[in-house]
Amino acid sequence: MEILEFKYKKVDVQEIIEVVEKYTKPSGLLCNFFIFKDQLFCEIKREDLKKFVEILNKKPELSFEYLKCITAVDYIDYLEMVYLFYSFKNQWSINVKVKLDALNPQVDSIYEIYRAADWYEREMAEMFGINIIGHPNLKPLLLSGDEGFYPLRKSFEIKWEEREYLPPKKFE
Amino acid sequence: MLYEENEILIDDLPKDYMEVNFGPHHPSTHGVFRFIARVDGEKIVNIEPIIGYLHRGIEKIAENRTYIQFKPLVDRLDYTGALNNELCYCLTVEKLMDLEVPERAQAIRVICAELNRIAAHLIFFGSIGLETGAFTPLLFGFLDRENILRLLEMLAGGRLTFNYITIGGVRQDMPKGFYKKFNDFRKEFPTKLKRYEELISGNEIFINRLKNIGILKKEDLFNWGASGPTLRGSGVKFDIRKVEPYSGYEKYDFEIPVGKNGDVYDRYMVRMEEMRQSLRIVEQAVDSLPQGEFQAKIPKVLKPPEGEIYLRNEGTKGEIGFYLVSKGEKNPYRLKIRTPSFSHLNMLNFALSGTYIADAIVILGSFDTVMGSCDR
Amino acid sequence: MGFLEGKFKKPNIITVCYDKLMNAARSRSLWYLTFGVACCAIEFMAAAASHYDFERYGMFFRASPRQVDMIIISGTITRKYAPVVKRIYEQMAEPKYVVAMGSCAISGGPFYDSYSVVQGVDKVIPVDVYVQGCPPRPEALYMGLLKLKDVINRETIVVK
Repeated sequence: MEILEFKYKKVDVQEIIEVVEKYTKPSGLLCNFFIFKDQLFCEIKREDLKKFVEILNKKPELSFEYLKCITAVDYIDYLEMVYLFYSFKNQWSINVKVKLDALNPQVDSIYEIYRAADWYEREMAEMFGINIIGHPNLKPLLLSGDEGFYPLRKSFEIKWEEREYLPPKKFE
Repeated sequence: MLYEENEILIDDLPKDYMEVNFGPHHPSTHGVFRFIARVDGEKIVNIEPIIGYLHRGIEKIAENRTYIQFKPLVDRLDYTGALNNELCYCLTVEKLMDLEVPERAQAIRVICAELNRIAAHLIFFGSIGLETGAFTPLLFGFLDRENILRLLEMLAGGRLTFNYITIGGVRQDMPKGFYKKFNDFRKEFPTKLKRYEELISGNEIFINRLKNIGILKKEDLFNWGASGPTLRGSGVKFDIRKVEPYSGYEKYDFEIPVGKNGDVYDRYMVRMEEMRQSLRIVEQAVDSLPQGEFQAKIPKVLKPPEGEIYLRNEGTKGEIGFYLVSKGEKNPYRLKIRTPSFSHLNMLNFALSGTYIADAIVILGSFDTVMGSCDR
Repeated sequence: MGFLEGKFKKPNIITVCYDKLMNAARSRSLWYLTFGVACCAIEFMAAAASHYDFERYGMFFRASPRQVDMIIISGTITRKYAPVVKRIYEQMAEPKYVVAMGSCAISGGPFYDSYSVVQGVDKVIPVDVYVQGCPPRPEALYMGLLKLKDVINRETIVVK
């Protein structure tokens, strides 16, 4: 195998915005960019996620081929999924944000484009109760599946008190 | 005629697979990891990893602790490289607060993080030996790790979970006798490392067990989100210490070891070489340790301003990152921890499919996963 | 019985307290299970490997719960993992001893208020010795194991 080498490169955030907009504008995707502490955030609509991510991954000029992680934040009024992408070639980072409805959160799976999304999506599904559309295997990942609550939602609170130990219902 | 009617080709038969269960209590699955392997004879068809046996809900606890109260729990993520986790967490909070860390503190942070990296790789050296059936590397690895722990104990006062790096610097200054103790260590460690390498790196049985096994390509590793020595073993010269330097890593001169074939042996050699490079960094940092403060002035109650931030570090196993959302309160609004072990175990089904069952544990061991960091 | 060799001219009988003989035998060859859960497992390994070395106390590792006398619970027990611990304990042959190592195994430790952590392994299986620390040093673990010897030496066949 040949060796790929990466060295320190100064990144211009404005340049990322320019190149991303070059591809998103013709396909009619609405992106709302903002920069916080040298980090590029991009807010898009829930329906456009798969299309947008495909552009990020497939276009050779962008080539965001690495998914750092997926996370979600509960803002009580709405949920927000955050996708963190990285491009080895250009050493660019982009954080894509998607707003979800708090009562019926659902979002398209990006498992087909990024394999790394598999467990992250499963984790978000069980921690926040987000319905990931198109994910092949949405079984509980970290919990035993009979908790009856979504732990990372703000409506669930943990308390400093003694609890009874209840064995999980399902144990193979 | 009857014969032809009943003739069945073996390929047409529905395949009869056997399911083999590993774990969660299994001596060689690195903690409480479990997977069910579907095997066709000796070959693995696919596996189903089951994690979560060590899920402690750290991310939820973070929302109920202040920034400083939460810091000790960061140690318990990847407990073999606790100081690397702490460094990443403190850098994340500092970046959100725009805190300047004194140069002396930065150098001490680099020293302890790199010493911890050597200690973590020595555990890997021991465990990869166990996985291939050799018990001696474990004894040698832990013997030398003890010397490093004594240095870290002098510096940080702990053996495994330190709580040493604080937001704004380090908890205490470097003690006076450290330089002398470190000099003893740096004289003997390279020769010991050479002896260990002579013991197993050139061993024919070891090479046969490790070479051309678990070969992973670059493109697949990018897609599966692999990082750290796993990525470097496949010929990607990528190190966050070089690409996105933090805590003054740009000042030190060190090489990034890479593998050529992307097999288990390359991943092993990358880690062995990384120990040497880490020692080089520590030597440079100790020799050019600047004078001055070891702790910046921070307010008693930390209230980082509103905002969100993702910062990543080169941990001992790969990329460790913290995604922190602050609302300007005493405790974090949301803290997501990205750990390398989670991504690597996600990849395990892909890495093990089509290999022999005897190699499964070796390939799993070559990722050097820690379940505390995977399950959080 | 090396110290008795050559002391008797004819075959002879020695009387000894049964409890003492059994307890001496049990406490000097405690075989333990290779059972690592979390952070404490690394300290446990350090205590078992070179430098500290368990084997000088007659302790030896076994991979199967059927062959061991003692289990060291080295780490946080979560709700998902507790049934496994219980089953491993049930598979061990009598007499069996449990050492809870570290504050997670004692009470849940720093994860006391978490939703998925069992607050102490003694909610699932009975514990003989608690070793505190987060994680305990190998010396502390040795102290706990010597305490376990005391526990074993107190055992008797007499019904009280």
